[in-house]
Amino acid sequence: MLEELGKVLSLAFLAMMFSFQLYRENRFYRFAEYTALAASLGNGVVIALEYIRKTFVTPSLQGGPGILYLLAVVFAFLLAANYSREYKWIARYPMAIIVGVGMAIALRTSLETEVAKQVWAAMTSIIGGSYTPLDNAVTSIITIIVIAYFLMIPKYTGRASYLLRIARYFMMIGFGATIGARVPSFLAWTSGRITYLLQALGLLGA
Amino acid sequence: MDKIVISWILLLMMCVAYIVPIGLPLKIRTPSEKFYKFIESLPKDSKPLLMSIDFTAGGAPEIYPSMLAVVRHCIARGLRIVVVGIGTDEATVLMHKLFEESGIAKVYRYGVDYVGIGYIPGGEMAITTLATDFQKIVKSDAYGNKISDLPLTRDIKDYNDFSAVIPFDTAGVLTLWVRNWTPLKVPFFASMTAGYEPTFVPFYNAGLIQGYLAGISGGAEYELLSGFRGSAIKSMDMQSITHLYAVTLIIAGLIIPYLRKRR
Repeated sequence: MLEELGKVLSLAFLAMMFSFQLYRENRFYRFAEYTALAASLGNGVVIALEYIRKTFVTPSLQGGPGILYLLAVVFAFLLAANYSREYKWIARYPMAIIVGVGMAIALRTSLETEVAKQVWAAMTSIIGGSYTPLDNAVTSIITIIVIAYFLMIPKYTGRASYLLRIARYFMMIGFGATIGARVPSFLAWTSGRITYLLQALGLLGA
Repeated sequence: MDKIVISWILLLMMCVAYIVPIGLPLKIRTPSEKFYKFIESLPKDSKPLLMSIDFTAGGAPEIYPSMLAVVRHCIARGLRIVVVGIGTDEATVLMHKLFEESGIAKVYRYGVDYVGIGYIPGGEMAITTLATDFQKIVKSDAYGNKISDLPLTRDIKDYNDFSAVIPFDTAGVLTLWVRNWTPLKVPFFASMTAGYEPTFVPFYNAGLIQGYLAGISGGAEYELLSGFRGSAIKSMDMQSITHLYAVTLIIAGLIIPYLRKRR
């Protein structure tokens, strides 16, 4: 009985969500949208509270989680000062720690993985590797032209200025391909719902 | 053409492609093949695999089929797994669904062959601590058991105790995994949305990622390789037909304004 009710509700919400694209914005769509947001937020809050219970409250009752945990909880509460105009400045301290630690962790390895290794991979041999010689040649040419674009940016008008235009075309193709590649994602997400819809209506086997 | 008409045609095409599959051919790409071969090459008594559910429920239709196929393959090979979630707090719910649909409990013993830890908050700090001090960040699993009490996890200290790390991502934390785990020389495989693939190809080319499954097509390739056919293969016809439709619309969108201008 509960399962059937869940199925009917989910189909109703699916219809409400699809109504935006298949009809126009309407109050049913807005209701479904707000419900999805609220449910997601509710789930997030419960999980966060559960984590605090597991890592702080329960260990505290069993003999203490340690001074560092306590400090973390105090700093977490200080973030709430953001909501007060008068005491907003207090929230800057925990925020500074979060940003500082985050940056330190990120910078520790990003130079190696996002710069050094990428540069090394760009210096590929034309023959060999996982790609065809043509792919490798195109990669090398585009790499050189796009680097040249950024080095020549200060309004270069000499003989090789056509390179700036070619580099711009390559970059636009790259950006276009990246954005275009999101289309399969959106289609896959829609297909998940379509599968569910067809299964629920008995038009497709489970 | 009206946006509503375009959407209705798209919806109808998707439904027809699902109900009447054509069976268009599927080409296996090298990154997917490498992923499959790695899992296939692991011996039964190897160290556990660390998998991370970093996709949301909304993005699950694209990534979940890949994860399900990989987990089913691991079960068939007798490989042990530890499942965490960093990118989204929906990870725990999705993990329960994964365990249920893969039928893992019928074959494996919980705590001995597989452990579900679920969502771990902390983003990049959690990812880096998982690599350096596992016991410090993970105290208990999603069912309330202490990590130190479970045979599979009680001896895990750091990254050295895993055969490989495999994040399944739509939430955008894959870069953080790459940044913190690849310098440690742990075999690194991943599954990401098709939209994110161009971002991660440079990591693959640089040898930081040894293989990956991109989008629903990556999942379909893995299903085909492993023999565990699921929803990814079923949806490939729909993907191909709707892509054709999208390309037709793009070309029409470019040509029609040009022709109008000429008139």
